[in-house]
Amino acid sequence: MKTTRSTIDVSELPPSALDHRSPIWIGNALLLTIETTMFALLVATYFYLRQNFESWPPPQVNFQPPNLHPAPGLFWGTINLVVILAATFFMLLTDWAALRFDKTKVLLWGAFTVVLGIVAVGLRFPEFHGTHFRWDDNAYASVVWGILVMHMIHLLVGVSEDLFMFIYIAKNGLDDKHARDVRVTAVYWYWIGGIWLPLYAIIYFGPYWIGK
Amino acid sequence: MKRGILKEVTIVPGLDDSEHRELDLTWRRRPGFIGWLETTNHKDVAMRYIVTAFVFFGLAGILAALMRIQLAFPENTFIGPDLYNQFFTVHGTTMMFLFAVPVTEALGIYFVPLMVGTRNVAFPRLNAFGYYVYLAGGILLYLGLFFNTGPDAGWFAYVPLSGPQFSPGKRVDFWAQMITLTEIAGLTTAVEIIVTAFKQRAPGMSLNRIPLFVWAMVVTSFMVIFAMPSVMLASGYLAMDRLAHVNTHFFNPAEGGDALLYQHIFWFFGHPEVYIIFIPATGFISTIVPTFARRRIFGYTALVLALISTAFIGFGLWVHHMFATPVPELGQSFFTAASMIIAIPAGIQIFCWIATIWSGKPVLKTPLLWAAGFLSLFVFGGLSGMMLASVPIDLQVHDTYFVVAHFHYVLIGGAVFPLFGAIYYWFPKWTGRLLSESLGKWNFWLFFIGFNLTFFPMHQLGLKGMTRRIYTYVPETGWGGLNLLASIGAGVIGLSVLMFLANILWSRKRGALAGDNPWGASTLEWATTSPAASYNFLHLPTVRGRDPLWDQKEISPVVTGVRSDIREVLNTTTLEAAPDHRYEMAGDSIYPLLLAVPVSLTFAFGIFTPWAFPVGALVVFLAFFPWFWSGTEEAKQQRDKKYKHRPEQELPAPVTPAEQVV
Repeated sequence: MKTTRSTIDVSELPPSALDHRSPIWIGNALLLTIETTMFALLVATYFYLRQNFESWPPPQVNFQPPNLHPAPGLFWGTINLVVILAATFFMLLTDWAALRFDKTKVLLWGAFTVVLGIVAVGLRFPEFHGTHFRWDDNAYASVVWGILVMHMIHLLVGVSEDLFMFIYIAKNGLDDKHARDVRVTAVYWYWIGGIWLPLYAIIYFGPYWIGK
Repeated sequence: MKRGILKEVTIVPGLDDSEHRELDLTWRRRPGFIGWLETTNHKDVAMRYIVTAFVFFGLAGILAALMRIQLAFPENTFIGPDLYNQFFTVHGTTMMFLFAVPVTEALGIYFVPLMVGTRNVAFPRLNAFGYYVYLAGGILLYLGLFFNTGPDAGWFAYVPLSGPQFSPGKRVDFWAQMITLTEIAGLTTAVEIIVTAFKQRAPGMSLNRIPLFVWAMVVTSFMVIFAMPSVMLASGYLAMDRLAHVNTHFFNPAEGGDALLYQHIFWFFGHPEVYIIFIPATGFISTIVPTFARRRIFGYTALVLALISTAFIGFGLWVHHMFATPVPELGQSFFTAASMIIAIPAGIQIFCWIATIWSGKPVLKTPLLWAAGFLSLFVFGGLSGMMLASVPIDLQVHDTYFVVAHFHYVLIGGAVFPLFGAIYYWFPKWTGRLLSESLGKWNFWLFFIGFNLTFFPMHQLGLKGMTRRIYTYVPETGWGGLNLLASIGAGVIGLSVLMFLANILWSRKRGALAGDNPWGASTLEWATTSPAASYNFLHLPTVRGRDPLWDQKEISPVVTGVRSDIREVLNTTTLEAAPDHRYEMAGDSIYPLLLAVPVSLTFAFGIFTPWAFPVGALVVFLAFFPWFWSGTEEAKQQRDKKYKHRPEQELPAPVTPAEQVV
C-alpha cells in the first residue's frame, strides 16, 4: 500500500479576497447585470411608447393656459443628480478607506453616503411632482414614473444595506470580510450613480430630443 | 503570487477518519425539524426543488389528462369552457415556470458543485431563500385554481385579453405574481451556478476542461440573467395596469399604451426560455452519452461553442412568435433567417453525440435509451420548427394544433426525455441504489409510444384547421378520430409516469446497491461516496484533464489546508483554476425562510392592494437585519459550544461507502 500522498497545501493562501476575485464581488456584479437588463427594458419601453404619441410628452390641454410641452422640470431633477453623484463619490472614498482598513474613515465617508442617499430618496418626491403628470394619466407618465420609482427602490436598498453594514462595523470593527463587503457595496453605488446618468438624460432631455 | 505548495506527505492511519468526523460536524445540518428548515446544503435544497418540481409536473399532467378526456369526443361536456381555460393556462404555466426551468436548475445546483469538486454552492443561504420563494409561487398559483381563480388567459397572458377590461377579477393577477416569485428563484439560482462554476473549481480544472454539463448550466444561467428580467417586467406592467388605485397604462391603447409592447417583452423572455429549458438537457445528454458509449465525447470544443452560439442566437428569434402581427417585412426576413440559423448549432451537437455513440462501444442501459429517444424526437420537433420559421407556413398554422404538436415535440422530446435519462443516471448518486432496469425500459417504451400517439396526430389536426385552446368541436369537422387517438396516447403516458413513480419508490429502498461509481463515469461527482457526505469530498480533488476519473491512472494530488472546523472552501482563478484564496461560507440559517415568507406575502397581497408593497418592503427590510447580522462568526461560536458539550463517543459514525455490487 502506498504510504505517502501528494497534496497541494493551500493553508497559506489568504482566507478571503478584497476584490473581483471574491465570489461575493462577482455575485453582486451579476445581480447588477440583472438590474441593468431591467432598466434597459424600461428604456426600450420608453422609446417604444413614443411611437404612439404625436408629441412627447403629450400636451396638457385641459389646463388653463394649456401646457403644450410639459417636459419634466429640470430644477429638482438636476439637483438630485448632483446629490446622487456626490453620494457615489463619498462611497468611492469609503471604498479606498476600506482598502486601507481605516475604520474611522470608512464610517465617516460612509455616513456621508448614507445621509446623501436619504436626501436623494427625499428629493425624488419633488421630481415626481415635476413630471407634471400622475402615473395613471397616460402611458408616457406610466413609464416615466416607472423609471423614477425603480431607481428610487434601488437607492433605498443601497441606503439600508449601507446603514446595516456601517452599524455592524461601528460595533464589531472592520475585519477582512467586512472590508470586502464595503467594497462590494461600493460597486453597487458606482452602478446606481452610473446608471442614473443615462436614465436622467433620457427622462429630462428625451422630450427635447425626440419630443416633436 | 502564492498558489499553494505541492508536498509529499505520509499517510497517517486514522487521520482521514478524524478529518471526516470534523468535516461532518461542520457541514451536516442540525437534527430535527428546525434543522430541516434551516439547511443550506446544496444537495438538500436541490432535492427539494426536484421533488417539488415533479409534484407540479404530476399536477399539470393531471390537468392535461382532464383536457384530453374533454377533447376525446366531439361536443363532450366533461369540462365547461371556463374551467377548460383555467386548465390549459395552469397546465402551460406550471410546465414552463414550475417544472421545466426549476427542475433543470435544481440538477445544476445538485451537480455543479460536485462536478467542479467543491463543498457547496457559492451563496448557500440565497439558494435556500430561492427555493422557499419558488414554493410560495407554486402554492399561490394552485390556491388560485383551487378557489376557481385560476388564470385563464393562456400561459403567455396576452393583452388586451388579460388586461383589466377583458379579464376582470383576480385570475390573471395570480399568474402575474406567481411569475414574479418563481423568477426571483430562477435568477438567484443562475447567479449561484455561475459563481460556483467560475470560482470554486478544483485546481487544474481550467475553463477548457469543465464538464459539458457545467458548461450547459453556465450558459443557461447567463441566458436566465438576460431573459428573466424581461418577463418580470412584462408581468409587473400587467399587474400594475390591472391593480385598482394604480392603473398604469402600459398596455392601454386608449392612453397611448401598446398591446404589442407586451408581446415583444414577453417573447424577448419567452423564446430564450425555450433554450433555457433545452440547453441543460443537452448537458444531460453530453454527460450520459460518453459514459455509455465508453469513450470521450466527440467534439468537446464544437459542443461548447454550439451552446454559446445557441444562447446568442436564442435572443434574436423572439419576433417569430409574432409573425401574425404587423411586423415590418425586413424584420420578418431577419427573424426567419435567425430562426433557421439556430438549427446549425443544434445540428452540430446532434452530430457530435451520434459520432460519440457510433465510434464508441455503446452499452444500452436505460439512461442511454432516453438519450436515443431524445435524439429522434428532438430532430423531429426541430424539423417542424424549421417549417414554422417560414412566414407563409407560420401564418397558415398559427395558433393551431400544428404548433401544439411542434412545441411538445421540442419540449418533451428535447427536455423531458433527457431529464428522465438524467434521473435514471443520477439516482444512484442520490440514494446509493440503482433504479430497476426492466421497469425503466417499460417506462421508456410506454412514454415513447404514448408520446407519439398523443402528439403526432396533432400535426394533422392542425393542418385540418383545429385551433388550439378550444374546449370542444362539432362532429362534422372530422377531428374526432385523431383526437380520440391522442387521448388514448395521453393515457399511455400517464401509465408510464406511474411506472416511473413506482420505480422510484421501490428502488429507493430495495434497488440494487450501486457502489460509488456504478456506470464507470468520468466526472468528479462519482469521485466520492454515493450518496455523497454532507461535505461532498473528504479532500478537495485536483484534476488533470477533461475526464478526471478516466485520466487519473494513479492517485493525483489532493488539496489540504482548507479549514475543516468552519465551512471553508477553496477559490480558484476563473480561467486556469489555480488556487487563489480560501472562502468561508455562511452556515445553516432560518433567516432565508424568515425572509421568504414576507417577500411571498408581499406579492400575494399585492394581488389585492397596492399598500402591500410599501408595508411589505418595510417588513422585508426588518427581516434582512438578522440575516445580515448573523455572520459566519456566529456559526463558529455555536460550533465551539457544540464541541464543548459533546463527548467523543456521541460523534456520528463515518458513512461507509455502500457495498459494491458483485
